[in-house]
Formats: sequence, C-alpha cells, structure tokens
Amino acid sequence: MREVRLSEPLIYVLDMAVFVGIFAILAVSLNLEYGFTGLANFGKVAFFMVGAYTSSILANMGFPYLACITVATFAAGFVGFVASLPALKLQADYLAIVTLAFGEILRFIFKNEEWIAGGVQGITVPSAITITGVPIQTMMLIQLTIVYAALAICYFIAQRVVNSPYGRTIRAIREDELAAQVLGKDVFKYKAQMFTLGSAMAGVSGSLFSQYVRFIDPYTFEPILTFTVWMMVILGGPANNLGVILGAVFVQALERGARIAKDYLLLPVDPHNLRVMIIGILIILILMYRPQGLFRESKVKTPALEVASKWKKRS
Amino acid sequence: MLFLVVVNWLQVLFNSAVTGSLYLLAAVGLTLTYGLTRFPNFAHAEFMALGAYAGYTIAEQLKLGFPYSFIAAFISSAALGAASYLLVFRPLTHRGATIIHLMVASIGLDFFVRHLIKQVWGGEQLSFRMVWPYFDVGPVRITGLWVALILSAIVMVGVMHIVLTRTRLGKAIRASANNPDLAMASGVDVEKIALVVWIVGAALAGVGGLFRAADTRLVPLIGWEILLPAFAVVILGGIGSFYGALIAAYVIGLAENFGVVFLVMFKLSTDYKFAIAFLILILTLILKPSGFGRLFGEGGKVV
Amino acid sequence: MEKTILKTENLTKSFGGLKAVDNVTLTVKENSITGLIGPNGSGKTTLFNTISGVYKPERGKIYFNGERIDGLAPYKIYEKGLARTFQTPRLFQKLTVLDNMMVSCRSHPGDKILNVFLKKRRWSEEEEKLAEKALEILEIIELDRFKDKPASELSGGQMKLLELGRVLMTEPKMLLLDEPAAGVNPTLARRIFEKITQLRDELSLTFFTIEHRIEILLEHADWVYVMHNGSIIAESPPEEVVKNKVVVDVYLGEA
Repeated sequence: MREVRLSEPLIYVLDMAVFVGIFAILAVSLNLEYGFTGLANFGKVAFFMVGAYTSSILANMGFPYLACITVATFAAGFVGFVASLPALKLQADYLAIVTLAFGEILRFIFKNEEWIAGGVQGITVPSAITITGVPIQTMMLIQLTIVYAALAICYFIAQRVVNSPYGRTIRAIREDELAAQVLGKDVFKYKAQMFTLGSAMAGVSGSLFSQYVRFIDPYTFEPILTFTVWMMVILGGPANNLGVILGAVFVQALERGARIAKDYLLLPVDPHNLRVMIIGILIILILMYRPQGLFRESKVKTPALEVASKWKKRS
Repeated sequence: MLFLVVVNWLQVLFNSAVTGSLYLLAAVGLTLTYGLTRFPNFAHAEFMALGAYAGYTIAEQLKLGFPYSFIAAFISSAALGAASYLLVFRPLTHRGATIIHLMVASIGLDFFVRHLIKQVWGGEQLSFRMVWPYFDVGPVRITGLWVALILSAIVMVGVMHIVLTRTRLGKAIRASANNPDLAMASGVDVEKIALVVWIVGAALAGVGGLFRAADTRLVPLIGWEILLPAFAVVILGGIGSFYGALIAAYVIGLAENFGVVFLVMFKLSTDYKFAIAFLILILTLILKPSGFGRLFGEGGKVV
Repeated sequence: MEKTILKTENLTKSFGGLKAVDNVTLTVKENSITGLIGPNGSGKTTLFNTISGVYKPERGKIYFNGERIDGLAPYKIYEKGLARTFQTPRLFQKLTVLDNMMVSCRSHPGDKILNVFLKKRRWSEEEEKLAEKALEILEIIELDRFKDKPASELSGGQMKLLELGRVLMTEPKMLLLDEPAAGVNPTLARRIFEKITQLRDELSLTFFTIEHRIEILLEHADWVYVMHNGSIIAESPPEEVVKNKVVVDVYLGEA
C-alpha cells in the first residue's frame, strides 16, 4: 500500500477516507451475505482479488475507468456465481472452510502464473483516468468522489434488496433454512443470488482499490483482509447496512491509530504485528461481549409496516 | 505435453507414509475438537506453529537436542490448547455463540497467536541445523527424522486406540464426539472431556508442526500451510472420527505425493499440490459429506 | 368428502437399517380432518417428513391431487398446495410476528430479485393487500397485538398458533400438522382444534394431523390412522378407535 507521510494531514485524511469507502463497500457486500442471508463467506478476499486483477489487467491494456470497473464487477460476480454452485449446498461450517480455501488457492494461482499478472512481482496499474497537470490532492478528491459514488450505489442496492419481500425471505433463510424450504422458498436460489451480488460488489471494491493504490501483488490479498471486513460487519451490527459502514469507519480508524500510536509511543512492537494482534483480540472480545454489534438489526421496511400501524388504531 | 520423468515409485510410496503421518498428527486434534465442540477451529494452525517454534528454541537456541524439543513442542502447544478452550471457546459457547461466531473467533485467535509468534521469533525463515542420519533400503532413501515421525504417529495411534477402546475416558470421548447431547444426558461431563481433547489434540499438532519444521523450514505460516490438508483429512475421515482420520491421512498423503509426480510430468508448479487436498475436500463434501466416519459407527454430522 | 386428496402407496423410509416408515399405504379424503396417532417413535413425524419432501422416500409413491410428488424438493411440494407445521415450532425467531406471516406468501411479486428493482410499485400494492390479509389471520388466531414483536418473545402456545397462521397465509389445499396442540394448556388445545374445524369448513381445507391428545383429536377428526413401529396397524372412524383391541394393546403395551 502507498506510503503516506503524516506531515501532510490533508492527504492523510483523504487517504483514510478513500480506504473507508473501499472497505465500506466490502462490508455492505458481506452484510448481504452474512448479516442478512447467514452465509459464512470466509473467502471475501477472493472476489475482491478477482475485481482488482481484472481491473488492473484491463487498465494496462488501456481501457477507460468505467470499462475496467464494469468488467471487474461482472467478472467477480461470475466467479462468485460459479463458486456458489457447489459451495452453497453446504452447511455453514463447510462453506467457511471451502470459501477460505478457495481464496487461498486463487491467490496461489496469481502467485505462480506469472503470465496472468506478474506473479509474485505484482503489477503496477496505470491510472485509467488521465488528467494532466493536477496536484495530487485534486486527483485524490476525484478518486474519493468515485469511491463514494460507488458506495452510494451499493448502499442503495443493498437497502432496496433488504427492505422488500425478498429481503424478508433471505432473513428467514438465515433464521431457519428448513422452515423456509417447507414454506416454498427455493433456498439455494436465494443464496446463490445473494452470493453473486455480494461477490460483484466485492469486485467493484477491488477495482476501485487497484486504481487507487496503483500496484497489486498476491500478498495484498491475504485472508486477513477478509476478516478485517468481518470485523466491520460484526462490530457495526450484522443486518444493518448503516451500522456496517460505520463499522468500516471504526476499524479503519483503529488500524490507522495503531500505526500512529506505534510512531509516537515508540512501542517495541512491529506495527503490522500489533495491528493484526489487535484485530484478532478485538474480534474475540466483540463476539464475547457484544455479539449483536453496535447497531441492532434493521427492520424490513415495506408498505406492510404502514398497514400494520394503521391496524393498531382500528382495533 | 507429457514429460518423461524417471520416478522412484517406492520412494514416492515411502514419502506418502511420511506425509500421511504428519497429516495424521496435525488432524487428530482438529477432528476430535470439531466433533466435540462442533466447529472447525482455524486456530489449530497455530497449535502446530507454536510447537514448532518452541521446539526450535530448545533444539537450536539452547542446543538441548531433539528429544527435549519434542517435549517442549508437546507442552507448549498443550498449554495453548488449554488456554484457547478455557479463555475463548468455552466462554463463547456459554454465551450462546453461533457456529459462525465460533469460527470467526477462531480466526481471530489464529491471527493473534501467529503475529505474537512473529513478534517473538521474527518473520524470517528459520531452519533446523540438526543433521539426521540417513540410510538406503533398496532404492528408498530414509532419514532418521522420517523414521521418528512415522514412529511417533504409530505410537500415538497405539496409545489413542487403547485409550479410546479400553478406558472410561476414551469411551466418554467417543460418545461425546459422536453426539454431545446424548453424552451429556447420560452423565458425561462433556466440558471436562472437551478440555482433555483440546489439550491432547493441540499437543499432537505441536509435535506435527515440529516435525514439519525440522523436515523443511520454519516460518510463521507453517501451521496455516498444513491447515488445508488437515481439514481435508478431517472431512474425508468424517468429523469427530479418529479411525476415519487415520485412514484419510494416509489416503491424502498418497494422493499428494503421487499428485506431485503428475504435476512435474505436466510441468506445473508443485505448489499446486495443496490444491489436491482441496479437491479431495470438495469432492467428499459433495459426494459423501460423512466421509469415512460412518464406517466406524462414529463421526459424521447429524443433519 | 369423497374425493381423495393425498395417497401414499407402500411408502418406506429407513435410517441405518431401522425402518422408521414401513410400507405405509393410506389415503386422506378431501376436506376431512384425518388424525394420525401412535406411540412415541412409531414413525409419525418421519412419515410427515417424507410426505413433505424433507426426506426422500426409499420406496413407494405419494400422490397429491392425483399427481406424483415423491422425490420433489420441499418447496416444490409446497407450491402444489401441501403445507406443514413442525412438532417444535420452527419460527423465524428474529423476525416479527407479522414478518413471519408475510414470509410465507405464495408467489409474491416482490420475492424475486429483479422485481425488487424493476417493479416496486406492483409489489408494494400486493404487499399492502397481503399485509391486510396477514393481520386478519392474526386476528383470527388472536396474535394481532403481537404483530411487531419478534417471534422469539412469544409463549409456546402462541408459537404453535403463529406457525398455523403462517401456513394459512399460503392458501394451501391441505395441511400436515405435527401435534398442533402439544405443549399448550387443555383449554387452548381445544380452541386450536375448534379453529382447525372452523377453518376446514370455511376455507374447505384438508387437515392431516398428528396428535397425542387423543381425546381432543377424536372429537374433531373424521378418520383416524394408528401407527406402530413404522406401520399403519389400524384405521377407522374416531368413535371406533378406542374400541379397537390392537390399538388398545399398543397403547397399554407402551404404558
């Protein structure tokens, strides 16, 4: 990741804001899968990786930003769909093992097959937006706008999905799969759709990420990335889209904080180790003391709520 | 595209026994804790890593010799296993954590321990300088380390078999791993049994990690690298099934070593050998999720 | 009450050599309340699980409305109009009582991912109608005042009622009820069966019901099957069941 010096506070803040946006998209996508549908996707990073590599390869071929991001989205969605076919028939624990392993294997393929994207050397990503002669701050603002526009779209889509009869069904599947089945729900279809949508959003995020950091290699996509997103969802509040976005803000602030603390407090600990250790311990502590997260599950907001509130007055 | 390679098939067969013994040590604890506490413990990877590092300190830094490092690996991983169960997983279960919560927590624990190890021992690759005697039996090259590994696995299997079949503790373990609710209803203190299993399972994993490190090299990811084949052993063997794991470990050992020969023949990176374990894992889940477990009237999950 | 709605032929399902359902052949007449009784472990719930598609039968055929349904997925069987409840209610705990009702709407336009985006107006209208209907059913089963509460906060009896209400939302032709009156007090148990009879008459539904409270069941059922060790050992009108020597032996044998 790009080194940013603390001596430039504006750049530092913008940089953090961009990362918050990129991770918030991942958090919203995992929330659709885990928070609402109950799918334990431990391989989130795989679909982020597909988005990032697809976008980077296209950018190197000279495609414009919009083309990169669109193709990356579809590619990640497609990989998600294909992966979901065998995986989603499995129970939660098997799904977790399989998705985690899938991410690791995909990473190994990118690592070993140099012809795809440079193998361990990684690839630099040319900017798909070409504006000459603007200062770095302006470029960052442009990036920031794009990232937040994408986040807004993903948020809108997620909200639309969960506040609908469809959204009610996926929550029902999360609560009791068998009961949903005997009530006529083709459970597998819903899961596959949510997994595909979640993966596509991860692809958007991956594309934005590669365009922002401008260099990716297989080491960028270790499993820790998946669990940083899990932490955002668990901390923010599963099944609450606004909550998980705030979770993303919080976790990013914490990660940055750990780095700054290290610089100022001269801790005799490697900052990367410290960061990961804190994440590990916090995940456990949240699950132990506040498993429902900071925000409560959001209601299914459909016209049925209005009908119900009028009903009260009538009787 | 086939490349003709002169293959010493007997050596491949022997290597499979070595790999199988390693995977067996790595997977026994994983399968038993999975059966008893009903979730896959991803932090099991670090039980292997800690044992390897503790053993390294004893053998290379304190120069006390391999038998002592074996004991150190056993004890340190056992302690970590006990702490994991008592401080993390038992409290979480008491608080009504879901299986997904437990899995995520185990990942959190894995990250914590791995980076703690990295902080203490550094992230660079370490290697055991110990020299092992070797000898040839016909065309097969055998080292003392491999013999020690295979012997450890055999002794472990023997002891476990006697404990599981002849003692009250063992019967309680099997009953609990099979059906914790039923075991509890018939008066077994499942939590005490679980603690024992977590300790022994972690200790064996630590020993496995030590052998792996002495045989190859030592990096903080050492446990994580064996975790996938270990899971493949657990799934193929049937969750919670000791005897299933015993067969599965050697089946996967064979598959991997013969698979590598074919990878070389097709000029593919031998790094892909861990995709073989993944393939077996996926196929088992799709075709026969109970694995070998039902063969022994144990293991496998109740739907 | 002449037409057959459900028929099984030589239905068999076993677990590890034990035949939980053994060669069961039975028919349920349309618009009837048919009872299924038998001691614990006689295979009643397994039979229901096999009919509703939760288990695949090993052998035998199941006809619903003249159509083969054995081997179909549970949701397909449901789509044909055969719904069921569970012995222990399987509600969607974190969802509200109203949402539990609404989930089971049949072919709701808003329950398809594309319609969620493209046809919001259409599904919103439908949603309002269905909400009215859900509330009316909740009123009948006297749960409307809990409509905004999570299902997990209901009492055991209320959960039973909600599960019944939930399947009624779907306008089924026939319902398999697994002990609708278990775990509730006798007064409520009677009321549940009165409701079942009322629903049968008003909505011309068919009920196939497992029940341990035989005395209440016999008051309301039109026909009763008795199951023991996986087999149907007797069938008769309710008033004759208690006189049947085989049945009496089975129950006394258990006690």
